[in-house]
Amino acid sequence: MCNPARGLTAGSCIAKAEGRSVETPAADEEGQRLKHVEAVLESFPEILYVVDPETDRVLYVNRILQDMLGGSPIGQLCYEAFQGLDAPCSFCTNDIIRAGGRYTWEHSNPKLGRTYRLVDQMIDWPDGRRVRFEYASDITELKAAQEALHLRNLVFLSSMASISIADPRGIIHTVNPSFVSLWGFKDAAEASGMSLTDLFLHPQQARSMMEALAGSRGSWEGELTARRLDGTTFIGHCAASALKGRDGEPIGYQVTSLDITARRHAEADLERTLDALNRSNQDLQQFAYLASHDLQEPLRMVASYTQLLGEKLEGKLDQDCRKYIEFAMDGAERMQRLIQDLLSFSRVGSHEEKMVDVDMNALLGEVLNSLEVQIRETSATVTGGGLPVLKADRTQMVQLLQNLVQNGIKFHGTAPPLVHVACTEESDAWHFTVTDNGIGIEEEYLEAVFQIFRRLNSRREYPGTGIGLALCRRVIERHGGRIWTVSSPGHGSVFHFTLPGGAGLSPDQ
Amino acid sequence: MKEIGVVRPIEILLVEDNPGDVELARVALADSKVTNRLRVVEDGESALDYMHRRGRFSGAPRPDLVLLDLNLPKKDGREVLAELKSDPNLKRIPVVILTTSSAEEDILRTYNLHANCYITKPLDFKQFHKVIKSIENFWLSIVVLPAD
Repeated sequence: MCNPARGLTAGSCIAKAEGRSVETPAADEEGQRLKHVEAVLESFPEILYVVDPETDRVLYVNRILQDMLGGSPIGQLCYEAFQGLDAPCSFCTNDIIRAGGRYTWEHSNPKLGRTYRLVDQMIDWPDGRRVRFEYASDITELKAAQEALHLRNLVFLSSMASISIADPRGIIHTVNPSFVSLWGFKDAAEASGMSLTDLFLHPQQARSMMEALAGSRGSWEGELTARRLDGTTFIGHCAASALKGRDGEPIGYQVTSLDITARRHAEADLERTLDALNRSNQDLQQFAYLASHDLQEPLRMVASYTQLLGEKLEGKLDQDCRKYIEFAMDGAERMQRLIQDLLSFSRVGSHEEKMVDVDMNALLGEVLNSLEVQIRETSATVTGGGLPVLKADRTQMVQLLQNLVQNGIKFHGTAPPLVHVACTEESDAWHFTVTDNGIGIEEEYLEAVFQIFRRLNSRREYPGTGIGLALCRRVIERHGGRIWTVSSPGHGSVFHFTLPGGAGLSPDQ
Repeated sequence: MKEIGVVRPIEILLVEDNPGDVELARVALADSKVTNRLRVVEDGESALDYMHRRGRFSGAPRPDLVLLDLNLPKKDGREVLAELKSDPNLKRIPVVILTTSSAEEDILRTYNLHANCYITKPLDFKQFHKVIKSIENFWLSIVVLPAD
């Protein structure tokens, strides 16, 4: 035990030496006591050391500190040996210790990387000096736990959600500031002592929440009508859970609530708007059908009987009268086309279930077949190919391609029309182009051509209802794509449109 | 049928509420090469009474061909068609739908109800006349129908 390295040497070894030279029972007893003291100090599980306050040299360290330092620091400067610092620490040298008081503080040791609670005081050293004795307990884990607790408390205090903590009977123990402001209390103290059930408009609802919490699941989530202190109400989304003690027995509940009144009202508004929109859409579909049917019937009467009249009076009519009859017939025919186009336009988007794999090459072939007469009459050349198979509404794809190709043929200049249909694959879409060599479109009308009833040319030159491109846009938008045109007068037009698919999606997705 | 046609005129029932259309059909059928008698009822209920020879139609002859409009007062053409085509006695009689509607769902629905054919009334009279002629030609001259 007499280990000179750890500095108690002076006292104990002198005592032993003296004990051996003067063999008295009292000296022997004193020797025993010193041995016990040494045994206790050396095996003490926390740091103890002694420093000369005048020189800052280490006089004694217990075994645990020596082991931590990896060697004896006796005679070294305490702040160097223990802390790795180059000057004395202010707290070791403060006046309280020098005046004989006991000084306690907490300190993070940079060399050992631990946090300690330190107690310093002056003691008498066997050689008559007054020396500084320090006792240090490692509180690193305790500090970390405190820090974590502090953080959790911060969350509780600053949470936007209102949180209440109640005992097993449902009596509120504590609440956070959000709770105080949401329910309109003065402070947290005002809320404590209230029953959780008093927070809600319908006590029965609150009681079923409590029952669920007390049950085996121990949690509940749902919406409750909450009642503020002033009697006003709000819709609260509440998530509550049972709190269990160390022994697993319930020690209370926590209820976290959010005011979702505004959200619920917005949702209800949205739903009402959607309902109204659906109704209006249905009405519109119904209207379009009725209008087209009921409008066509009188039209047929006008056309048929004008014609019949013309036949009956054959030979009795002069040229003017025949012209009038022609005008009447022409008007009726245009009206009929208008009605039919309007009907097709109103129908786009009404068949969600019709999305199938469509071979656009085959479809182009069909379109060309149905445009055969027009192609022949205008000596048009329509080319195209390499088109994909994609998921689409087939009828609407026919309408789309037919309208675009037909426009390409129709709006031709002096040269015979040339129309080319092509497609390239992009990362998430098929990009189609329909290119013609026709009269082109002035820049200011590039957007306008897609508006319904918007026509840029006289009916005499280019007959039509002004619905075709509007229908194309409706078809494309319904399929989640885009349509636009690049053109300049005299240089033809390129109609671009995209349809979802391409490299990212296979047709059967 | 052709043999019978010599003996008695072909009976055609036109179910149509528009007098203009009735007149057009009458004019178109007037110069028919087959002797025919056009009977007209103006709503679906009367059409069914006629077919079942009920009430004021108790003495009505059984039609050889029905020309049926779809949008009719009271019972509409779809209901009339459904009832005719589910009657074991009447379902043999050919029913030609003659309507203004060119709506896909009308076409599909009436064929599903076993309409014998669907024709959209053309806008001008010359076309209408042609249509009536071809109905007459096809159903009254070309097609062989059961004797009763």
